[in-house]
Amino acid sequence: MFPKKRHLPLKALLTLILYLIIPLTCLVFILVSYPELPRELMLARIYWVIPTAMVIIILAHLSTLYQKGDTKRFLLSIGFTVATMIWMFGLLGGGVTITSQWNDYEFSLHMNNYIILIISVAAFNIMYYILEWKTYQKDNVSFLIHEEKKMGTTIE
Amino acid sequence: MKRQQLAYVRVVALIMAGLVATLTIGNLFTITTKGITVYLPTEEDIHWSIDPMQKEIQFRTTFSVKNQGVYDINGISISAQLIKDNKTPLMRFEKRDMAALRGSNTTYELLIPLNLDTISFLDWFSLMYKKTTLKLLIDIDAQYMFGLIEFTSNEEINVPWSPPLLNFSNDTTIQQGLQGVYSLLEITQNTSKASFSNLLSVFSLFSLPEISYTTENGFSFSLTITSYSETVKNVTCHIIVPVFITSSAFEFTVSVLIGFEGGDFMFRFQEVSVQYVS
Repeated sequence: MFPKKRHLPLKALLTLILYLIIPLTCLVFILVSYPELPRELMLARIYWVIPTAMVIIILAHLSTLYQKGDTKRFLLSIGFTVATMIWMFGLLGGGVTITSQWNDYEFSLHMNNYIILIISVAAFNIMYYILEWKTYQKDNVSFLIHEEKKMGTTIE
Repeated sequence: MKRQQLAYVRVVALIMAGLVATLTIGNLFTITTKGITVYLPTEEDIHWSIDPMQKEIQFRTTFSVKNQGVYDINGISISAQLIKDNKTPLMRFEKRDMAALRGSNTTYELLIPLNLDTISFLDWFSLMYKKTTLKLLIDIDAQYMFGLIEFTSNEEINVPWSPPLLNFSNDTTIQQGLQGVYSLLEITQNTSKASFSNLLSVFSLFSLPEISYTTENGFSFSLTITSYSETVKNVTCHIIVPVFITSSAFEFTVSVLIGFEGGDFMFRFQEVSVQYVS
């Protein structure tokens, strides 16, 4: 069931701004403004952000093509949430600990709690998508039964 | 669940997802651009002095935290341990609950006291006499963004140690006498690990003449070796280290019996004392 939508839906537009344009701008700004920082590290993050953000945008866009309650929309939304988690995880360095050199000394940044926060938010979003799917699916079924009864009465 | 309630959940979920994504970008920006940086002291930044009133060796240094991030850095705790080259811990120091406010460059001064009463006599003598490199093991922990991100650092900084006693005299006899006494004490701590050079150093004491050496500034070192019996010697060492600031002195006296008795090696302390005399 594909409703006619010619423009980029709001969800996809927000996703484009938040997951691609802003981080990419930040990364390019860091790359240009801080030439002393390891260039490879920044480039690796840019190469990470572009494809993962594209996947997120496509999933966001596709999910809006289906009605709420549709299983395909539900699965695409779950995929969208998982993809955002992967995006963040990669942007943070791909691990729970980042090692950084400060003034010739080595420092570690432990992100365990931060990762827990990301997982919690993702879980909350998944919970929403489950509720949306269940609620709208039930309503759609009721609506279809109601429509069938109405049509039957008219034929009679 | 009603659709209206679901819409509220949707708004909350969207806000949370957006917030976390923004935080991720913000943190990435702060961390990669070194918006948060800790400057630990180098070898040259660690100074020490002797405080005679407190009977302490005081190590002084600083470390600073630059926090140009959005949040305060809380719960900064530093734990330092000073160890000798043979890994013997001399002291442990802890300072907790410091904070670096956002947008600030904060310098923390550290005064790490080493109370001479709390370390073993051998370590005390070693510090007074032996040129060595001490190691300062520093552990730093801090929390950022309400504890969501934790910073840790474990570093080892060398502290070159030039003993005060060594600076008082260049006389080789005095040096030899001190070395002998030190080796003697080292052997008493662990006789099974006595090296050949240690033993040679101890027995070289017997060949030394009676030493009595006093410098103009009041430092005094005297070593007297007398016969206790035919095979046992009584070695008495008396060292006075003046403290110039308060016109007082540390007096160190050790008297031991050393030799062979009944076919066995004998070593017995007669007297050991360290006193602060004003």
